[in-house]
Amino acid sequence: MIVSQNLTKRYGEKTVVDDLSFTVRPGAVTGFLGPNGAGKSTTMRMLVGLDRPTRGEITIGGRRYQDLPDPVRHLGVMLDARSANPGRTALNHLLVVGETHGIGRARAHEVLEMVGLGAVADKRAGGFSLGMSQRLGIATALIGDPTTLVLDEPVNGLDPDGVLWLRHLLVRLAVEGRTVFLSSHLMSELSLIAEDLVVIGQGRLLASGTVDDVIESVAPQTTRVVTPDAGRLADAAQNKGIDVRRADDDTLFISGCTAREVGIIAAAEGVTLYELVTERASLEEAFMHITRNAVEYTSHEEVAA
Amino acid sequence: MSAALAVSAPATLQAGHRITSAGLLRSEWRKLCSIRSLWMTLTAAFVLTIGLCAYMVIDGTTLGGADAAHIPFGWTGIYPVGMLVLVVFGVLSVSTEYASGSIRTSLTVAPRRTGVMLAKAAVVTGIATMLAVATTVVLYLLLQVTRTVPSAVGMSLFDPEMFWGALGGTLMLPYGALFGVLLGWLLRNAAGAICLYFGLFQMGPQILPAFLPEQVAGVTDYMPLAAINVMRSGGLTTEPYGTVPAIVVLVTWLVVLGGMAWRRLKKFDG
Repeated sequence: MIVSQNLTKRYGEKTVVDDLSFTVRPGAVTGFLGPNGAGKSTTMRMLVGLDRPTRGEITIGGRRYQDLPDPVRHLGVMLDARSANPGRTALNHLLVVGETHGIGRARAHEVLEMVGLGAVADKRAGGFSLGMSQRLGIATALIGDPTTLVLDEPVNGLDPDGVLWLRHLLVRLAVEGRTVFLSSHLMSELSLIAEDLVVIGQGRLLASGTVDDVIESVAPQTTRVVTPDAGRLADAAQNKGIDVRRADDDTLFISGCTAREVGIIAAAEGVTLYELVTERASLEEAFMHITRNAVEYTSHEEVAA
Repeated sequence: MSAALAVSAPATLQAGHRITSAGLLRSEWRKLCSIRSLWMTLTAAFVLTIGLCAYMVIDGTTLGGADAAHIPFGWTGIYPVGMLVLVVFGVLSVSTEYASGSIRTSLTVAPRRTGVMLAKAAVVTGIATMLAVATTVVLYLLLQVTRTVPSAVGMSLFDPEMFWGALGGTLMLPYGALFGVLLGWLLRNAAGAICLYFGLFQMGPQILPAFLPEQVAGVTDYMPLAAINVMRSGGLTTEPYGTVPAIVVLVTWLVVLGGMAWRRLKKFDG
């Protein structure tokens, strides 16, 4: 479990992370979202001791990362895919990491096979594509078989096969009870993987909870109904205190109740239904809504839009 | 590029894996061995030293004639060339990590940082020491075979007239490597560290007296190279001071540089 309490980081006058508190639970994939410059990478760097908090703390299993005697057994991290020396082979890169903890060649080969780089174990990392570098970064994170995995933009550069592999890998790790915490700008991908979300903007917490809760908080679920008796159904729903918006002669948008409840009302009124569809905002729409006032860097075109 | 999915319960990991001093040393050793530019620089330092010294020993003109003939360890006069390359080697052993971004991996794996710094210093200094001793032994044997330096003919390597000069020359090689490592940790940048070394420590003793007030011009006597020259003399010179003060000067530089580098590594963001 990752717990951030009042985490704050200032560089001079600039506050990059501002009193950030959140929890990442084990057994689930948690997405870490925020616009560029929101403080995601700084938060992750503070988690592994690369940056020092100005105030507050962030812990893994109740302990600071720096205080762990066997850090790679607790936390596997990939902050930058290109963090292997380009002149070093993939195998040697993993051995450089593993040998600090007495982890040997057999485990290095094992994780290379796991990420699909077994055939290029003796190739230099400098010759790797971005996708291969991502896989090497993930192998590095996995070498100690950690209970917590933290990945910064792990999907970047992966081919469709790689994205599918990573999706299955992360879900499986979470199912095994591990804590999986990853940042990504690919909302469509995150919506497929993540169960929980932590959304930050300008260093502050904007939202956290399950994906459904976060989306629901900004755009409540609605039910779209197409019926020739739209007026009668609208009246029946409104009599029960349900919010109804009429889009055209045949279409209603009903919020504040489920599609099942709308179906029951329609049946009671003897109203014929052509369509009964639950609609909710996408993760991307929710993200844009949540962060609309917390975007650090925007182009003139974005502002005009 | 198909990848397996199995992740749980790896048979290749046992309980009890943790950071150890031996592990950090093995990791640093692998870092040096696995980067071509590093071991090529190291090789160049000793090939250059052995090659130039061997030429002088075999030729005999310089070492066997006039005043030099009375100095049995005169062949170590080329060692400063090797030391220069070893300073660069020491700097590169650190700066390559910063330049490639792999320092983030190193500091994440060993987040207390001090261990990484000590392990790198120990490995670089250890390798340079072993190779320096081997170099001295090889050149001594060559000296005995060629017999081009009359004062050294038949003299044991451990004869005081030979030993202290040879030891001083030999130790300057790992000293240079360690000095480079500490400069590397302090500046994190190869160009900056090498420029600082050449500009201040190598050229400084010649250039600075021209700019400094006469009262403080003697400060250059306390630069590392002045102390190294005392050590290399094997007791033949006590100018500007003797062996013990020279050792104190050399150790003080390491402590000051190392302390500043450690503070920067420990206190500032990685």
